[in-house]
Amino acid sequence: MIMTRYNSGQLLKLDYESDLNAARRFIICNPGISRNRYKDRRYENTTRKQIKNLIIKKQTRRYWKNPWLQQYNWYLRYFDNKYQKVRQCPLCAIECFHSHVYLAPWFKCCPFHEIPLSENCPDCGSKWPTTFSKMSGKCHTCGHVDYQSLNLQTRICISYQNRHNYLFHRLWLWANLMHNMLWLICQDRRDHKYKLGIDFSSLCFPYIAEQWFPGDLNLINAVSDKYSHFHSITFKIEFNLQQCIFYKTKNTMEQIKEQELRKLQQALRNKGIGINYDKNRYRIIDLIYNMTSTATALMLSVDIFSDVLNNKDHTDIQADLVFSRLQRQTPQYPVYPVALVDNTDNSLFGVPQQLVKWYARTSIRWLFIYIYKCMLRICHANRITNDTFHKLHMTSYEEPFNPQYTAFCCHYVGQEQIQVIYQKLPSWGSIFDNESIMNYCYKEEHLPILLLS
Amino acid sequence: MTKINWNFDLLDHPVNNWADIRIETPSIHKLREDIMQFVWTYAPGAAVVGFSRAGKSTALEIIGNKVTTRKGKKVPFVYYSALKQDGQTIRAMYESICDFLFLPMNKRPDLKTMKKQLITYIAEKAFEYSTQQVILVVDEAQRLSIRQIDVFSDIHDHVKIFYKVHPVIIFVGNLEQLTKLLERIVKGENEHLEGRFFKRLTVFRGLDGVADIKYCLNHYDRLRYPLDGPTYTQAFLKNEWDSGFRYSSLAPLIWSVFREYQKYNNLDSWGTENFIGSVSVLLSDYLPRYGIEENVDEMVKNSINACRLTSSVVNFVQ
Repeated sequence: MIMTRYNSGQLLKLDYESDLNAARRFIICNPGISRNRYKDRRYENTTRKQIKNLIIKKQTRRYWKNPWLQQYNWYLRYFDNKYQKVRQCPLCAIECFHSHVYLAPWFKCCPFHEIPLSENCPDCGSKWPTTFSKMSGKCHTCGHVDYQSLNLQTRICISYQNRHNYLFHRLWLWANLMHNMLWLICQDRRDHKYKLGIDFSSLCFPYIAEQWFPGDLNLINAVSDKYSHFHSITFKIEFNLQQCIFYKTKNTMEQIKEQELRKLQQALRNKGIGINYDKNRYRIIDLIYNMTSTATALMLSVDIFSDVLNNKDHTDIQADLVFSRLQRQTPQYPVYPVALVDNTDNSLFGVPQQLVKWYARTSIRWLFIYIYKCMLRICHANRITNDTFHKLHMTSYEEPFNPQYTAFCCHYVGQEQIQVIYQKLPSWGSIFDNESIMNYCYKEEHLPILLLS
Repeated sequence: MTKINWNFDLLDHPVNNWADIRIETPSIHKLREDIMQFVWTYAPGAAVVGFSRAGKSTALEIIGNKVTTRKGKKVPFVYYSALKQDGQTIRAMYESICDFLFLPMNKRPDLKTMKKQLITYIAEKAFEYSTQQVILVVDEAQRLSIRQIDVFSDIHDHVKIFYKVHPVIIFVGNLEQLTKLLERIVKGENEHLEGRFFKRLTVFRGLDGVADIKYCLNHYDRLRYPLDGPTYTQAFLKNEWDSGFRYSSLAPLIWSVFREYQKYNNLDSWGTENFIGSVSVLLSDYLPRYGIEENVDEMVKNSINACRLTSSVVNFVQ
């Protein structure tokens, strides 16, 4: 059987384009396929696997060597997620370009055309298309563009000359690296400026969740790891609040402790360690340490949840108290080799490698604990709308972990989850506007990105 | 010395199935160089003419993706063999090309859509090979009308304007019929076509001379089947090969026999297809049976007759 030769749309391909754009390219470069075929049920009511197979069949092998397209997320995001709002620059749409970076809420303007991004097509008024059938519509902005009107040689998207484009390039690389796990969220309630933040899905580091929260308790829906980009760090934990409430009413702290001890005993028995105590001394210590840490984590979490859920007034837990519960010393904040960005004038910029190592090796757990504290602070900060509170609060209270943080926000997503976002200052807006940082970016070849491996 | 693998069936040997034998003859080599010249000089088009069964299509098949740019990058080869159509309209032409290249089409494709699909396909081919040039071969061009040849000038312009790709459109056709068409193009008001596609003309000839035949017969002494097996000549004439016989040594004799045919029938050159057929039949059927010492010229004659170099219909009709 001879396969029909579909055009892959490589000619319209630009760097940093999203998979949504790849699908649109395919439609534009194959005008020989009727729209009725796109409207066929096969295209609309298929699962994502079928859609993937359908598209794989229609592309050349060369096209699928592109690692970006090979990732499964691209069709998941656009073909399976009905609730995904696509943000797009109207002029970029006319030129057949879209990037994942446009989905970041802090990206308010198109870096190429410098006009605001929108959620609807300005011509036809409908949402930006996410399915084949809609993409093959008659609208010249969001639908089936005629390749003659594209003016391939004069596409503005191609040029990367101004600084925004440069930063766009950097960010796209970063986004590309972490595409599997990242979802860009950025909101700072304090000054209402958009900033960069990330949260992760629980698929990334499930072992942390396993270690801290046993699966049978179902206290946590998703756990995030830390991630650092430029100087901002964001965390996300999704708690199963209903389960937490249920747990609190049902079990007391003593019961939890007992449960954990029983588990420990069972583990010792199963492994036969109890017989030769001297031989397996260190193993036992490790096991006990693990079990006690889970128990204390549970205690902490239940404590904190009870505070968060029940106390409407100001609640705060001292860092020392948290760490004393864990029978640990309060960790010291690492020394920066280079100041990241000065809060006052944003004059300096650098990659704090020592910080990266320090975070990566030693402080995953402590940071995780710290999030609880942050969460409480967030709750408190959200209740108080007065900006002066933050200033007073931050100056008077020295954080053991991160003295630079000034802003938090807490999102209640649905009824079952809490997203916690923690972010440092200065804001992204100030970085964009600062020339010294931008000049640094231009000069330095390496990415101004911190990756914790 | 490596041991020769004799475990194969002679009936599967390429010499017995000579239709699949591909030898780059000197004329094919010349054609390749000509096409290289067209590509290097950014020629918009050219015509390749030759008498029937000379091996033009096979030559283009062999040349295939061997044409390179100055940088050494391969130039993509889009092949289209023209079909005789009911109506000689432009739409029918596009439909025929899209159909031949298996491009997706609606049930009732309109001209605009087909054109876009085709032009994008050609441009993408160039993009795939990361070059700015494409060779579009239009085989059996004698079947086309002048109006239909105009279609290719349209394709040429559009690909060049919208995608900055320079296609080299090569019309391949029969000597007699295509020359008639060319005459009409030159004499009529078709200067745009003449200037674009028919300024450059190459005549493809078959084998012409002892040297060409010796060159081709050398392949029989060199090629092996299977890869670790004996050479083509060795497979059929094992004892003779061992005593020092080489098939290429028969080249003067074969050429002298062909010359008789050529003079009598007023032939231009020896068609590649007929040559390979005759030579293969001689090697597989006559020489092993009757030996290489006596009446070789008779055997050559018989093998040429078996492959019908001359038309028996002409004599019958006369």
